[in-house]
Amino acid sequence: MKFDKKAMRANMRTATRTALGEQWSEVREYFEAENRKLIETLKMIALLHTSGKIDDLTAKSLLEGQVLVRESLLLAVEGMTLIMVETTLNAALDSIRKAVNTALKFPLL
Amino acid sequence: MQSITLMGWHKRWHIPLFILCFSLLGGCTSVTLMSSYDEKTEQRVDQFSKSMNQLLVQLEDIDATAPQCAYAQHASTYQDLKVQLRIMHMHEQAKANNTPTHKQVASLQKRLQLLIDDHKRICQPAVAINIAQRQINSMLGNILKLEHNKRGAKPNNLFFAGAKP
Repeated sequence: MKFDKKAMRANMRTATRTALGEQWSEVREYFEAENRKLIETLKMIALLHTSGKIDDLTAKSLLEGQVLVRESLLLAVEGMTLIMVETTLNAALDSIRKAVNTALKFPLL
Repeated sequence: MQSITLMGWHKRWHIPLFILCFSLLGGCTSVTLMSSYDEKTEQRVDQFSKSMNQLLVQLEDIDATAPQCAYAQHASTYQDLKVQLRIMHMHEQAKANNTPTHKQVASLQKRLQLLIDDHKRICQPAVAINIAQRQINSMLGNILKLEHNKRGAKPNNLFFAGAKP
């Protein structure tokens, strides 16, 4: 079995970039590292299966495990995005609060 | 292979905008979108990680044909691991604004179940156990990564904490 890691990495980068949209530039470094790990693991599962060291069901189970790893990674990014939005919003609210209070010369907000 | 379905947060930038508007109308209170850092989560992850890795290292060292490898020999350890995860899941589910962490623990439960089902079927070779171990450790790492970000939220550093290989 031929494993074209370069093409696979490029395809994964395109798919991730499309899925993440504007977020891509911020998470690029993170995902590229994770994609490399994912490709290495998939390659290893394929090789072990081809060489008969693991059976069909084990290979399937390890692949499902890899999907779960990806899901967990995306959930971490989702949570971190929420934290980033929360921090940005609170900073904006704080600046509005300060501006209003300064303009009114008493702490209204 | 199944596809992963998340909530599509990246396409929903109008949600923060609504939150901002409501907050402004509501008297400029601060906004909470994610639960705060919980030291107990980190402790539970560490405890689970220790027990899990102990079992997997032990299984890696046993020959797949040896009788000590049989599932029955390790059933109680698996039960203990399942209990640990159930407790972790219960705590994370109970927190407000904690869906990502709660779902991460649910994914980990599914991964553990795959390992149990595989072991019940046959004794896995060391190479398969090694891959499973790396997958579980990656998942635990993702839970910790998010938890650490809850503690020290610095927007520009969020994604890159621990990203270097």
